[in-house]
Amino acid sequence: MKKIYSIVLLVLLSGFSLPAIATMELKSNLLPSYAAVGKNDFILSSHNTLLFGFKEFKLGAYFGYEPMHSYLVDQSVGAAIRFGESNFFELQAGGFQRNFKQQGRTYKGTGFIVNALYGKHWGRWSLSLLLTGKRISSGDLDKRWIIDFLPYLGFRVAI
Amino acid sequence: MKLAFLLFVLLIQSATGLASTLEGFAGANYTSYDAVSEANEGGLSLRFKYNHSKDGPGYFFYNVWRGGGIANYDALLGYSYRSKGNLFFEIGAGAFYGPFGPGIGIVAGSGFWLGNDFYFSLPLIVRKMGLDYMTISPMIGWNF
Repeated sequence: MKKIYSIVLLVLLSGFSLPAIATMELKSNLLPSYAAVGKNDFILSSHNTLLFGFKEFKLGAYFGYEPMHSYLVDQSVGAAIRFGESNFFELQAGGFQRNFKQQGRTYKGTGFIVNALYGKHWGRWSLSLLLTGKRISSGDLDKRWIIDFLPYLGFRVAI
Repeated sequence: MKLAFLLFVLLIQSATGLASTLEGFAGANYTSYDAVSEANEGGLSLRFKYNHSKDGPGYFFYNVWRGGGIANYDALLGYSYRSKGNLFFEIGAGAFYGPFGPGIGIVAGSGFWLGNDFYFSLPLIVRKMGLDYMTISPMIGWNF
């Protein structure tokens, strides 16, 4: 009888330890930058994910917000998938919109975005290299491809 | 000439065996228009800072290149103090030299270590004389 109890207890305990493996995680990849040469340029790019799954494999939602100037803002929303933990590879993709303000008018360009990240986690912190491709395919703005390659700082919390 | 100086510094460094750090940041962008290919544009930006001492007092060599030719390159050689510990602060000053003419430069920054080899750094650089500018942006550092 004691053996059965101990087996039941063991199963329960292993069940309790599951959340440690299957977690939910909120993460922001940030690129803040400020430069003043005559005029002020402040950039705060953020690529945010809400992922869940296992330690080595996670998927979930993606939201990007990149105000590059007071008159130019890029926004995107979609899905993300991540492989690996200490060293990771992540793909983010979704819809994309650029808002460009000029002389009181706002011009919009819409399309899609694909981001590929390779990086390393140190607990809550991470570094990643982000290759991003943005496509403006319709709207008021000229159709174009925008390719960026930049390093990002990451911070994440478990939920 | 500046590159030769940096290589010389690295050579001296490797001979003395003291811990130094190198931090930097680089990015690239390219935009390709469907309608007017003549409007296509691309750019590179690079900045790096060599610190002769991992912490404590020591000289540093800061370089910034905004892309678009050598005219956008600027270099600062100075002396600074960086505090010990996982979270560090730095303060220093030096002289700028480059196509923007001579000038004085101030560095004030902070950062933190991610283990023994890598760190985040956020240096504020102020340049006066010749071309005045102020920049603050993150850099990724490596201890060697």
